[in-house]
Amino acid sequence: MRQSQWLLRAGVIVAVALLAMVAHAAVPEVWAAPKGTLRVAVVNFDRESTAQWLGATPMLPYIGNMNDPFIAADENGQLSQQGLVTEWQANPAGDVITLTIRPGVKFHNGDEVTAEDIKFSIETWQRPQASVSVSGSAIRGAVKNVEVLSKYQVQVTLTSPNAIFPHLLSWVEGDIGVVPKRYFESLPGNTFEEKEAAFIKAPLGTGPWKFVQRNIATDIEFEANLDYWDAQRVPQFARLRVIKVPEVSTRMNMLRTGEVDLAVLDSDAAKTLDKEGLKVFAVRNVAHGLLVFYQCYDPRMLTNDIRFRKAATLAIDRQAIVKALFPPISPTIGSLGALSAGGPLTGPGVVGYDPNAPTYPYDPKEAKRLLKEMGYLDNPKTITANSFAFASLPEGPKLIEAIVGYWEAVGIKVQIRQVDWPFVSKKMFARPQGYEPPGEVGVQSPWYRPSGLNNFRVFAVSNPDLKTEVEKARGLEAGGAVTGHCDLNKADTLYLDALGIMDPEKLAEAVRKINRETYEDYWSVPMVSRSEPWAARPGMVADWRPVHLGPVYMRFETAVPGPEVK
Amino acid sequence: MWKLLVTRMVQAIFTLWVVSVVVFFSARITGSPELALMPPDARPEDRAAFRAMYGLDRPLMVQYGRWLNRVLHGDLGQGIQHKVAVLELIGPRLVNSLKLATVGVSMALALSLPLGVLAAVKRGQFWDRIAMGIGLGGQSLPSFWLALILVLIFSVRLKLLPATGMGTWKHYILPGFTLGWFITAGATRLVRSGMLEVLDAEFVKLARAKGVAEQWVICKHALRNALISVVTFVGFMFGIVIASSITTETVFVWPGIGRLVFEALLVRDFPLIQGIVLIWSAIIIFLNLLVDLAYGVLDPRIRV
Repeated sequence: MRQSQWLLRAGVIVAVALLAMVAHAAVPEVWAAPKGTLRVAVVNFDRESTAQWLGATPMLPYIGNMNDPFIAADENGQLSQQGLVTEWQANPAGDVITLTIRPGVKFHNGDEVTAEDIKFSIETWQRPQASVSVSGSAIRGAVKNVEVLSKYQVQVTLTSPNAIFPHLLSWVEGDIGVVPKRYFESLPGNTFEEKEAAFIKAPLGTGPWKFVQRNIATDIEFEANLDYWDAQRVPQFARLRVIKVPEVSTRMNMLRTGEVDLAVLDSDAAKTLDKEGLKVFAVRNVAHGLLVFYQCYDPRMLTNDIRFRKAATLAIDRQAIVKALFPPISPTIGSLGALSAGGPLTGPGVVGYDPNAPTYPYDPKEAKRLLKEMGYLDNPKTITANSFAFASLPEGPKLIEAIVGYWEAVGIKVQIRQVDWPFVSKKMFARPQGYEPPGEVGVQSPWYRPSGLNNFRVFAVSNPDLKTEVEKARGLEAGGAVTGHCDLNKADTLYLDALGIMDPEKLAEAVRKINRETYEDYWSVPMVSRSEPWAARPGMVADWRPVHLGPVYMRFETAVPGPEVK
Repeated sequence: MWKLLVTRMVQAIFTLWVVSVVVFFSARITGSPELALMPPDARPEDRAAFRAMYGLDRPLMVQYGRWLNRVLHGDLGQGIQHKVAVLELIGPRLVNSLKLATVGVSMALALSLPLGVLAAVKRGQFWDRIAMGIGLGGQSLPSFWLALILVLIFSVRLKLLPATGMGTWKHYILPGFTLGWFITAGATRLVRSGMLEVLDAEFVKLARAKGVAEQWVICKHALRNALISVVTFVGFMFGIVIASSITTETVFVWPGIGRLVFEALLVRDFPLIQGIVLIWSAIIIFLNLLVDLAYGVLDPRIRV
């Protein structure tokens, strides 16, 4: 009797505990009422418009806060079904994709998001006004038409099979958001441009933050959207203010004085502030640092000779450079730079990444032997190293200096030219490309694009003005931009073979094949996988969960207020 | 006086036209805004659409003619980065920069006048050495470094003044001092040398011989004459201060015209660059005109 009573009591306790656990897991966590203002310092606002289609991916930390991507990404940067689009299904041929939309998602004015809004958004991004957008460019090139199947289903017909397309509907590789069709059409004005002007003044989105006000070129302010459709991401701060602060030392001082609560930094600043007791966050694998041999497909270039490229690669002690430029921040954060296995444009989180793949060794003796074999050491010509920085790789000029040091040690003659990105891109986008013999190099900073194939398209394959044999034979266009591979026919073949593969596992194998087969081409040199440091005042921000694998999907709504927030 | 005014106005218009030509064509040498604003994977047709949207696909002379025509009608065009009218962008920022420059110049004068006079009167003594030290420091310390040091001391360590932004009078102190520091140095040296020259002049000796009080000799007779070169310097420097406020405004996150032009240069926002340079030039020309007129007030011989 006594024993059975104890058993009964124990059973009740266990049952109650289990129920409590189940209830906790099943019911979205109920946040306390939002409080305080989260003040965030960023480097730039890009084009700085409240109409998302007028800007590109770098504008997402500005206006992305009040919008959502079509397809969400999880914290590790992988496409997720937890966003507005819950399913994307391709037909067997891979040229028709059906998007299924989450029911019950509302714009800030209370209107529900429907398939009509998705169609309208795609059409908006197809307009010339959206010419700077990454998704806009892809959509204009890839989408034949959009059809509404039902209230929550849209069918997108592509011009050709395209495995990258779903990724361009996310914010890890693209920048499209949802435009409220009914609201937009109700705005004053007769033309799209007039309504666009009205929308810019009173923008609406579906995101976790609602627009409040902005001061152009200075800051933008939002308030929490308490009716946000994803209960796990309803902001816990009442307000969000994003401030443009281009200078890193100023951002550091603003954190110290309490004028901002969260700020993006560089490696040195993060290390300093970590020592001062601020909380450092690392957004992992934001960008690759990639040494590119510009226009190496051109026989006039010294870099067209694979022996020169191989010598230039083997001459660099990449591990030593990374160690010197990216010292560990702290035991918990570690270093913000790493070398990935395999060739260029791959790394942890990228489709087809093989951590056991070989990596280019440091072998200056072999580099010298190759240079001698090709006769370079007897008749050395000076190549130009363009030194410039991107926001996603501020260490670019330091990398160039280090590379040039190693090259000079094996006898490669190099002159450093201090320039900015438009100077280099002017040569890159000239048709034909305008780099000067005997050769030019530069450290590019491709963002992490987890699809793998997308970065290969942008950085390796031929541009539309260079028709390769494979393009002519297949009647397709690879559509590259940087045109970085030195054997464009090979690069285009590998890319076009993979582009039509819609099955994820087969696609991963195709990307692995690309990495394997281009590894020995030495078409560019992976220098670093860079993570981006942020710091917060611990009393103000207790935690924060940005999306890794890219520098723009910041999700400030996941910031948890610290004890000092009032 | 009227003849002087008319001549200077004609010269000013010609100078502004030359500036407009130089800035218009030189800005375009370094590349087009789509190179900075568009992603690398933008298609050639998208690049072409972007250029067409802003008339950048037309011959340079046509672009210049259209821009000049708009300027003559009071329209500086629309910024490419922000898609906002240039005048609307510049207006409030110019006011902010002018406010900061006024504070900077006022702080500089408040420091340099007494210090310069003291240095001249106490030549070779303690105050003279202090003044010379400030003169040397002011011209050799980069404003960027000075700004960061001031923030570290007064904002981070002592927590007395805000590090960034604008709003209260406290926000003006650090950026105002940083901007004015360079002028303080130059003006102190000018006041000192001007005073030294005048204090040895015959009319000053005569004033002393007549028994005029020393303070009166210094303030009325010596300082007034020494000020002519200072007025020229400060008038010229006021324009330079606005034009060189890029680093100060960037470090202090001051929403002024210096920061705006820096960002416009990075993205090759031609209409904004052209608009700001044109307005800067107009301000500097106007200030020079004011300086010329002020000469007449300070030195009756010039009026004659």
